[in-house]
Amino acid sequence: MKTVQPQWLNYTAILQRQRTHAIRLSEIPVEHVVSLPIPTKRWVESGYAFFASPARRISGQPLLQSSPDRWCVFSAIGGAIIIYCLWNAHPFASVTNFENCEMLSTNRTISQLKTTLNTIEELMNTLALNFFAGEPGDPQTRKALAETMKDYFTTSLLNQYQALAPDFFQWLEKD
Amino acid sequence: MNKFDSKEMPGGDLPNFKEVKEILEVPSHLDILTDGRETLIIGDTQKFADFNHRQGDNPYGFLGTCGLVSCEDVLKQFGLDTTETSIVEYAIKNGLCSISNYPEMSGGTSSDTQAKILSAHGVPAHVESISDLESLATLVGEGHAIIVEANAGVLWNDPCYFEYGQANHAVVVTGVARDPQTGEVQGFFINDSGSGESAKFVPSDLMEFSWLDAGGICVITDLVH
Repeated sequence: MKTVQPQWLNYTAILQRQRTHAIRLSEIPVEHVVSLPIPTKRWVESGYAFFASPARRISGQPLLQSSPDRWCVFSAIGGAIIIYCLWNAHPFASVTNFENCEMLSTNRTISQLKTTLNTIEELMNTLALNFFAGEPGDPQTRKALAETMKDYFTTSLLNQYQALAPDFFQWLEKD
Repeated sequence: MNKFDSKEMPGGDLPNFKEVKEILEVPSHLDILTDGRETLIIGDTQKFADFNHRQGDNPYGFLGTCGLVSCEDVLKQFGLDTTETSIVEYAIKNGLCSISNYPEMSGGTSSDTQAKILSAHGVPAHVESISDLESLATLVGEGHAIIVEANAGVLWNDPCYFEYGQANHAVVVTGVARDPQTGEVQGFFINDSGSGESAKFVPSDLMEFSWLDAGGICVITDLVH
């Protein structure tokens, strides 16, 4: 019997989809912080999961982000919605709530932040496809992504990401 | 500042716009940008500046109300006498804004709910994803009121609010600046309830980074003024 190799959407495509998808426009307040999508196989099929959190933005003060109040998973094949869920209806982690956290660990310029995001996108474009295909991926590339994400997020925010897609982070940090 | 008169343009001709007729329906005048460039400003930016204020002017302690205050701004552009409190109360009653455990993180709206709120108040609106500045400029020139979902960090040059570069702040576009000779879009004028700035000029490159790169999402009124 013939088999068809799945055509995984790469990370750049998912980022674009996330920003303009109907679920973003209809359900998620503009003022929420919408996380980066993270590859995961937790939900029936391979997908990209992200969460959204209420936030406080007061000029001159760091952004304060509360516990996620909703989360969503796009299929890695075709990008259809696998799940959209309010945290109160079904949390993605076993904790009751995450603590409020600041967004970034250090002071950097917007240009530097953009550069780091571009690096994450570039590394994800390779590694997400390795992860979905069950391949080990290049250890150095995995290490680079893990370190770049640790550099971009505060520890408490990284905890939220790890709870969202524990399988991907375990794969990422595998020896 | 001089009122725009096509007869005073070089050669007596209008710039090579696509929809000259529609552009002439909204106020326009020649001016000089802060960087010294000549410009043709299309839109009643000074009049609409009065409709903006810093968000959070409601008795519920909601501070995440940029979308709701943008709706208030647009409704005032169409002659409605309303307030942030009134719009916030309408949104709460109808489940059209986010309510978190923290009031200062409450009051958020999606693009669709912004359009719903405008429509419910007699100003029908819809949501679009736009991929170029010229399209936005054309809509402004046609007299549509427009809320754009932009990135606050880029708009305010504040890394704290850049986050992932995504849309995280709603502002109202009140005018467009075009090169009088070529018609090229030089930038836009916005009312920003987050910073409290009104008729703030945002150059094209910044608008592209802040809004187009964040998805190019906007709420457009079906009516024109």
